[in-house]
Amino acid sequence: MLTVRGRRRAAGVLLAVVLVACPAASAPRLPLVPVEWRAAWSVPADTDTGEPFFETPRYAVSDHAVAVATRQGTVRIHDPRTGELRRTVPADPALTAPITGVWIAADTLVVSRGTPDIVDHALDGHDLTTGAALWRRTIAVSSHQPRTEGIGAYRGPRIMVTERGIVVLERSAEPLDIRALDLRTGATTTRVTYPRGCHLRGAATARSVALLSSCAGNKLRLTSMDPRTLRHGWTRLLSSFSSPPGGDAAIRVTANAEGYVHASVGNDDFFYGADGRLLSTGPEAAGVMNPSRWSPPLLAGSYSGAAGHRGALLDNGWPLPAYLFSVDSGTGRLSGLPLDLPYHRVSLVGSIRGMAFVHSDVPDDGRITAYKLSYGLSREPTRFGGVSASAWPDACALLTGHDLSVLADGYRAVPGADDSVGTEPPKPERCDWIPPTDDGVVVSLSVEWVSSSNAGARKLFTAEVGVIKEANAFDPTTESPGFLSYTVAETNGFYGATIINVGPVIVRLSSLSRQAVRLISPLLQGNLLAHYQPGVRAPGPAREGGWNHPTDAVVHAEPVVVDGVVYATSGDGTVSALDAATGAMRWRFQTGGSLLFDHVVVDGTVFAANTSGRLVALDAATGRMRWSRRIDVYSDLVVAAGRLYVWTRNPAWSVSAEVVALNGASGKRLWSFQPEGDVLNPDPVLVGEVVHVGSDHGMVYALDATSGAQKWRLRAGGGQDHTHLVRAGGVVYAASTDGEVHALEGSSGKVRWSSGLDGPVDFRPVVAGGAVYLGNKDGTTYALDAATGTRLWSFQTEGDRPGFKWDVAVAQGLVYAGDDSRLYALDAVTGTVRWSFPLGKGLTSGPVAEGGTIHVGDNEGTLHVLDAATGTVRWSFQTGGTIETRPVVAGGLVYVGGSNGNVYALPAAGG
Amino acid sequence: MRTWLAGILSAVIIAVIGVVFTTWFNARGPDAVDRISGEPPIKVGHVAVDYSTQDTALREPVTDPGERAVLLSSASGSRHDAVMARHHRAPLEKVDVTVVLIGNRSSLRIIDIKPRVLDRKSVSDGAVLVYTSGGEVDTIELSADLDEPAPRFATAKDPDTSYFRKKQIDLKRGERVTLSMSIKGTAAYYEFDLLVTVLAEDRTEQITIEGPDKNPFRVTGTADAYRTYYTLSPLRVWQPIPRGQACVIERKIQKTKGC
Repeated sequence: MLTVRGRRRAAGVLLAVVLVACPAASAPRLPLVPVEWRAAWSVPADTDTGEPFFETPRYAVSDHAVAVATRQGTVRIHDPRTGELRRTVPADPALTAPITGVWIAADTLVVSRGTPDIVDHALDGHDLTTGAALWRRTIAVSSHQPRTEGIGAYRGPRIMVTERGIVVLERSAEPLDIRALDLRTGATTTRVTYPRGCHLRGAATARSVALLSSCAGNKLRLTSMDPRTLRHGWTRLLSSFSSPPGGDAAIRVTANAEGYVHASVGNDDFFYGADGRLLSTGPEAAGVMNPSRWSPPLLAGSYSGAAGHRGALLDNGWPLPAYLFSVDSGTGRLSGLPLDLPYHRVSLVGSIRGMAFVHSDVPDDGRITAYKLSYGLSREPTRFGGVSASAWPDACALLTGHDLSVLADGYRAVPGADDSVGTEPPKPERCDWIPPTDDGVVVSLSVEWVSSSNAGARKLFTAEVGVIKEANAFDPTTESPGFLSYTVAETNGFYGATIINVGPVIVRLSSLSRQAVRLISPLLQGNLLAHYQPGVRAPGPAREGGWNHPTDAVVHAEPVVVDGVVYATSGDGTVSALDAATGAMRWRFQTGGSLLFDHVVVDGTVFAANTSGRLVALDAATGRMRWSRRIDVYSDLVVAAGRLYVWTRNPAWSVSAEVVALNGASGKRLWSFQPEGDVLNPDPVLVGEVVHVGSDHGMVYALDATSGAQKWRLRAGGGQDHTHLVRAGGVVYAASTDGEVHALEGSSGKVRWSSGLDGPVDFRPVVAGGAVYLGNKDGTTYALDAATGTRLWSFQTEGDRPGFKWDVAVAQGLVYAGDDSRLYALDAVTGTVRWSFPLGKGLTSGPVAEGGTIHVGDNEGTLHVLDAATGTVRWSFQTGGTIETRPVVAGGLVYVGGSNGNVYALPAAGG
Repeated sequence: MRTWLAGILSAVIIAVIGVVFTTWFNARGPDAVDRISGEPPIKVGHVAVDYSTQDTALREPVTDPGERAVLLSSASGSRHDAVMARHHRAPLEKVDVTVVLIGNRSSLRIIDIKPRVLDRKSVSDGAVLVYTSGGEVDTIELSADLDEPAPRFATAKDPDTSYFRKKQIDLKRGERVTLSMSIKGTAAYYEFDLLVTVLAEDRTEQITIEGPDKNPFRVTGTADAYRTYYTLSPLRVWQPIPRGQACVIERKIQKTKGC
């Protein structure tokens, strides 16, 4: 019994409990929801995600371990929660083949080793806890790819490992044999052959294998198969209008360990639960919502792709980060949360409770990153990654009409796509600035991402810059921290773009005019700095000296420097006259078609021919057109004595061609000459009033320059041989692909000497210092005495790279010749190597000798300027793309054209 | 007793009537109800015109600054379509139409579909938007030519025979059929609809299929010259180009006098 005092005390306690409990009970519940993937740990992962033929993973995840295959053939085992390295399964010294797959199932680590060209693969089972070997067996996995239409084929992982067993698809073409192995012993438990006439895809869950089949009669089936018995569990018929009549590769299937399956047929998507229950037929129907019931992630990719707005935005990739998508088991809707990596270089490796493991294939920084799911009260749309949607800037407010006035007055801002991806931001994330007249250029701006932190934005930006540089030519002259301009090549042309990171914001600017991008991008960066980092000034690019001029496509033709003016052409169809010292534009002329062939500047006239069948003559001083002619030119232009000589074809695909002579002053057609057979445009060579042309059938023709009448002809090679001509004084040297070389008197055709090489000649010879130098695709260089044809020496290198162009430069008693990997300086008398210089993946431009230096461009876009005598590097310059023209040295500057559209003028004394 | 018998008899009669009615209603009832209420024998589930991969022409140039800004920008969807519709966008020389028809009777037969020309004018020459992808051309089974005096659908294999003379389409209630049709028109600018003749319960009815947004379908021949030319830029927005460039990149335009 309680006393009165005790009763009062009890009543007081009770009252206190009620008072405390009541407000808590009446307050609305605020359930915690997933709000963010936070990077927990990451380790380097330098192997690819899988052989293209086998599609097997190099990384595996389970509740107990994360396995990472290495190039050295070892497998690193990490703690999934902490990333701590627990042990390393060593490489097998007896088996040098690389690792082709790594899996973890139950307490077993499975490793496959092999090469795509060898059918037999070694499959090893290891105890996951100790790393001890459990078993080894050989499996046959043919890499043969079926090519015949209508024959059933399997595409997908050839080895699938589950807790209930291992499934091996031995062939990718019919008959499709499926073998099941015991996980702990590697022994075969069963084997079946799939019915014929079906296209198959497969994916593994933890305990089953999902097979998506497209069989004759357009029957699409998704089947869950027992990995031990290969018996079918559940089967679902899929209905899709996208099903191709004969079956084919438009079907895909992915699954996660928990059994969720995503089947994709053309543009139709089907999401299933582990029990085969259809959750949704999205993603368009499913939509992407905020997560509530978060299943383990099933997909990694772009938000716009998952939201079903394919093609609505550039590259189907907006916004920039990758998202991890889950399927809500209750509603079937997709849920997605962003990562701090670009969407196009991310793949999901696996997940455990509350964690996901992602492989990022960022150039030079491949990694496995473990992300931890964090929960919170945020009700912001997950699309924005925990950042308030209102924090996103208005894309149309990041530039002003005043900014655009550097291009023209009267630009008009148009907010971007009105059917954006799912949740609309309150302000437009994209804006197009439209010029007042049709001869202006549109400038587009998109807010790619607003991160919750500056560091997160910087990480995303850095990864994206790596991807951009790997895939596109970029502009090193404007590059600075947080700022990269680049050139994108599409099938129908080029455009320029700049990606900018300031604080938490990443913005991209693009335009068909690279000049507009160059002018507007710094203004945009300044506006962003003023808003997000007041007081901070934009770091300028490091390089000084020289200049460069941005064109809107690849610069194919060698710049021509005449009287202090550089005449440059571009694939964008423009001819530009630039001040040689400053790069200031004198004039510009648009020809209306791409310019690929070398132009010439003679007697105050610029001659240029585009690929759209137009040949123009322009006043070199003003750019005014003197004449224009419709003619399909397929060669560099040759001008001599007031006449212009070109090779032309009509129609364009004709194998035969003719030489046409035009009056240089009027463009009037003077004469034409069509040799027999096919001709592949060797440039005409002139000696006085005689025009010499080679052919593709071993013949050399000499034509009267006035009338085009044939004066003589000479067989310089076999009936199928290409003949290359070069002139030195009054002598024409003709070399053919069968190795014959002739020296002819240019006027009469009299043969001074003939010689034979023990290899073909594939390029135009070079005559210098009393010798004729000849070369072929193998990289071999021959030297003959120009007066007698006597063979002086030969030098063999390792060529035969596709696109290899042999060329030599001669100076100071040395001959400079390159091959796949090096530039060689050879003694001009003996051919012995004096020095050599490494060129990475090979030579693409030059060599050009000038002023005691050698200028040579390598395959990775770097121009090297070397001391001609010693080969030591004077300076080098990374152009940001490939070097497309020979270096031209004039007036203390080196001019080259690049694939990024820049015409560079670099100080010859030191770039 | 008599009352009992009368009661039982009444119940039997009512039951029989019920069964007969139910049987009849299940078989024909909804059809009768739909017929009485004026429901068409087929419903048009979806109508689409593919503009995405074809050259298109506008009757007038886009000169209004606001409309021009929308045309040249990446503004997609409704704003862009509205500008195009105001300028009577018509695919050049052929229009590819996709129609989904849904049966709205227990049994019916589509015995004919033919294009009906509503308006014929000189070809559009206001602007041409040149599509330059060079992608694969879809093979469409049914095609009709509006330049013919009595256009009707035929197959590529048998162009001289009306498709629906040899083959008809049977549908049940709720059943769908997707028809992909290509309608040509090179001599003029045409506005047209599709007239579907349906046989249901021994009665024929005609249903009209209009183009998207209740507008007529349109197709136009190629003009000798256009007042403005556009092509799809590498940034996938429309970009004004000079006539000479259009002549180079588009075969249909190349053949005109303007080139």
